[in-house]
Amino acid sequence: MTRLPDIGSAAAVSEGEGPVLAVPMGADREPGPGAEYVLDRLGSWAGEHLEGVGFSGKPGDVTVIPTGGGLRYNWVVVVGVGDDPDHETVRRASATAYRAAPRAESLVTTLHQVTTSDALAATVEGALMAGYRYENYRSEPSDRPQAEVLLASPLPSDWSDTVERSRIVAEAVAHVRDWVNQTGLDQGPADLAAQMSEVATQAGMTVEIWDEKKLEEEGMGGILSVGRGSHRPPRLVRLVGPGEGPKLTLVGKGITFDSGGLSLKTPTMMENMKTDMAGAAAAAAAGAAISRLGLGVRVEVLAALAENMPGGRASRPGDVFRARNGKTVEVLNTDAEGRLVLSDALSLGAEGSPDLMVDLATLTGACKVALGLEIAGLFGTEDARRAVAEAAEAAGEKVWPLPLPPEYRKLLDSPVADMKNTGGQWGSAITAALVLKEFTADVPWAHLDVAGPARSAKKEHYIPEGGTGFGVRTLVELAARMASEG
Amino acid sequence: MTRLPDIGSAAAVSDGGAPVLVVPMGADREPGPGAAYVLDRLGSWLGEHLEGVGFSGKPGEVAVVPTAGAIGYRWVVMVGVGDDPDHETVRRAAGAGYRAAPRAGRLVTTLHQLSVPGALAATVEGSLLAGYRYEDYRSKPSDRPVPEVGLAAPVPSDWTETVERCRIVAEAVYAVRDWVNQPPQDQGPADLAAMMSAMATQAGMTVEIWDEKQLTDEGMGGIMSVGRGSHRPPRLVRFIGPGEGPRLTLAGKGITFDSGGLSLKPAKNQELMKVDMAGAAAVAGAGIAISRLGLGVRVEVLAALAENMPGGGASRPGDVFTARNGKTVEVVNTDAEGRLVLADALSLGAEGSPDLLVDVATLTGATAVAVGLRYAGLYGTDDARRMVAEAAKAAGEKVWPLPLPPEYRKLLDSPVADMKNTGGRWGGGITAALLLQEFTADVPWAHLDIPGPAKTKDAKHYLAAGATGFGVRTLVELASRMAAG
Repeated sequence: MTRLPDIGSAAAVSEGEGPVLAVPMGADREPGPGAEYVLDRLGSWAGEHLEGVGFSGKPGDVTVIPTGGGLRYNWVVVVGVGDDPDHETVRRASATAYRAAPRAESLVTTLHQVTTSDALAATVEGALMAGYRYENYRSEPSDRPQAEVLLASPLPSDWSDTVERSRIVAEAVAHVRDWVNQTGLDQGPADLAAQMSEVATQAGMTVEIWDEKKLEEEGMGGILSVGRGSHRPPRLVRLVGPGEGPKLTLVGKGITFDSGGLSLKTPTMMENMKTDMAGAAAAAAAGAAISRLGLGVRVEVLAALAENMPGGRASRPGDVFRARNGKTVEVLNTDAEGRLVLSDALSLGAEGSPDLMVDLATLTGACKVALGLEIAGLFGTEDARRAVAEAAEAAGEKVWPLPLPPEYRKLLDSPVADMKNTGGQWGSAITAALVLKEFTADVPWAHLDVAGPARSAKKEHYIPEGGTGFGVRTLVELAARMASEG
Repeated sequence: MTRLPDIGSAAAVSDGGAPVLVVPMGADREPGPGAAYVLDRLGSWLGEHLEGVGFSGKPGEVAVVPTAGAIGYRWVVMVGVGDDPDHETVRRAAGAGYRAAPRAGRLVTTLHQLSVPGALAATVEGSLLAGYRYEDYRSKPSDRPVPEVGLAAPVPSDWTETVERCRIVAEAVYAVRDWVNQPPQDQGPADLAAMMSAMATQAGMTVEIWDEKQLTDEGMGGIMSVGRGSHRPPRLVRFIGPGEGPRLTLAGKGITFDSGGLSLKPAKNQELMKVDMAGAAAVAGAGIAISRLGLGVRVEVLAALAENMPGGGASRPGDVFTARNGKTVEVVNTDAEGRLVLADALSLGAEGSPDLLVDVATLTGATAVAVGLRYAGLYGTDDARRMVAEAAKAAGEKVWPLPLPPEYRKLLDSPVADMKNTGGRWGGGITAALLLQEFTADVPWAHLDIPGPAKTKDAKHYLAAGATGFGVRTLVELASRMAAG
């Protein structure tokens, strides 16, 4: 994993010095913490400059000002936070400033002094997540230094605890990004299982890896059905955290590469299919973070890992398999495979009667059509859905509820099995979720379809190009809320 | 328009007197009103029969039982209402019972006696809506459905008022279905405008029809841009109801046929494109019903009517037009045309500063991918969205809220104009709604995207195959809630 930026403290803006100072401004260039001092010392040209380059203080606005010796900082990075910023505005602004800063060893920031709840954690998280780089496949790593972030005084007395918590979460996000960005070539199910296990073991979790023989014995017909077409057999990873308290089971779709199988994807659709394990990655890393943070929940992670390839033994359209819970599924489209690996993992998870079961999956293109690329679709039983929606809101991740109408279940009726694995074009994120529901044994359950936000085609604030780590923050927040509600 | 079934009162179930009796059964064949009498009189074979044919009392189940003279009806139609029915269960059961009834002159029902709020209105609506047929283009009409429905005693004393209200709403739904089902060769923009206007005038509304000259004079660049490729020019229809009270403006997309224009749809996707005026039909039908019901709102209807054809004068991808409110739109796909006609209609609607502006449109396939064919996607400002969602729920129509994230607005950025008319495949229902929002001048506004529920492939409960009239009931309910304050 890339080394994330170090976080430290610094003197008050007026007393400190350094190569770079980052300060926020609100709408209409309303000065935020530290900005008044900067404008005052630099003189009127600074305000004129901001106006001239079109910096108005909207969220997303950023500009870098060379101070020419007018301050004891060489550059000031001014970032917009708009009217009435919330913690997500601060998180994004912190990242934007970090990215925009000229190359230097350190950066002093005042963003944590913005008056909004959780500004300190948001500032730290934003900077840490923006510091992520993925260079494992570059012939030469970038020589750009990883700037240390220094939080300007005054700071709350427990600031280092907050930094430590945020670092644990940001490291989990970085693991997810690493796993998602790794090539399909180097990451078969067994490889990913080993990587996840290492992180989980370090976090104090107990680890089981079920190989193909064990999967057979345990009746995991869905995972095996998807894995048959690949030379690299499937795995189920089960991680159990050290905590006590309410039981939270996290289930993830982990297709290490999704060619579609015999229902082969077109080349364009296949381009980023190494990312189709992002749900499993988020569940595993969130479980590790929850364990490291010592949150009072019993967390269990079930990562269903398989490679979907059109090999000579691949599942064929028309094949029927029996899932862990005994229900049969007719596979009409081998590219609707995420729900098949999840059928077993959800069945297994439900056997443990968790207080809450949440699955994450890059499941359907329909969800991207529905909500665009930046918002996850949220399905599930009512209370579970509400709990996840509230956690996501507090964590600054975007989710939106979608319905599970019972009258759509008939779209999945099969002439030969208990259900088929696709329900047609219309409402197909919903029908996918309705398949999943068949395997939840009516425990409180939520499903996040992260096909859009798990990966990004462009850099923006704390989001890099490639894997984003979406879901980790929501799940950690969810666990913290379950623990406190006891 | 097909004649609606008559609704009257009837004697108590035990007195008989009609060819057909319709009674509800709950889950596990729990007898509903009138069913105990039937079971008692027909004897144990009836329970065995229902079990044998797999009738368990779930919603949607129907069993037609011949009585062989054992009671004063020739047939009993058992309809399932399941555990804990709501008014929509009753509406559907009434529709299902009506449709399943053997061809006879009259049926008597007890569904209105279910202890469910709104059971009487739901029974009447379900029966009336199920009586719809569209036969204008058949060489021979089919068998007439049951012409008369009797509500078994006891009925509440004000039952005739409820029936009258339901009849007004059902007549509006019938009109919408007729307009939507009509073949497009007989329904250009001017034809549809004339049909709507005739009915609106009868409802006491004032009527304006803007022709292509007036549309040009009034700066309606969006509607003009869409209509250019057809030999049948576009129209804007404006109705204003006679009522006083809060102002409710209803705007509708009325593409009388949508070929896609130069961005031509593939043949398969054109098959049902006569339906693409269902939003305009729903708002006109609803405005008419609201006026006839005398609800205390000032209702205004703006139906934007155009035919989207790839004629020699058609709009081209890359063309830019200026909408009524002065904003410019680059047309990069001529098949994203609904938002263009609505741009003008919404601008005009917003000029009147309504308390609530609602548009209805068969706008995007993306919304049908999102929520399936049975739900409408609901977008809008927070309060407006909440009001429409509550009204839809009370009316028994399915809508689901979808987001309008400001950060998606950049997907509509154009290199030459204020915006382009498509934002790509991902979130396609959302970006269409964000485009509409540009024309609402920040008045309270909701947008119903109804590509799925405006039509149905199969007849079921109170729906005939084809047009459904979706939206009318929600809008009428919304108006009555606004009137109630």
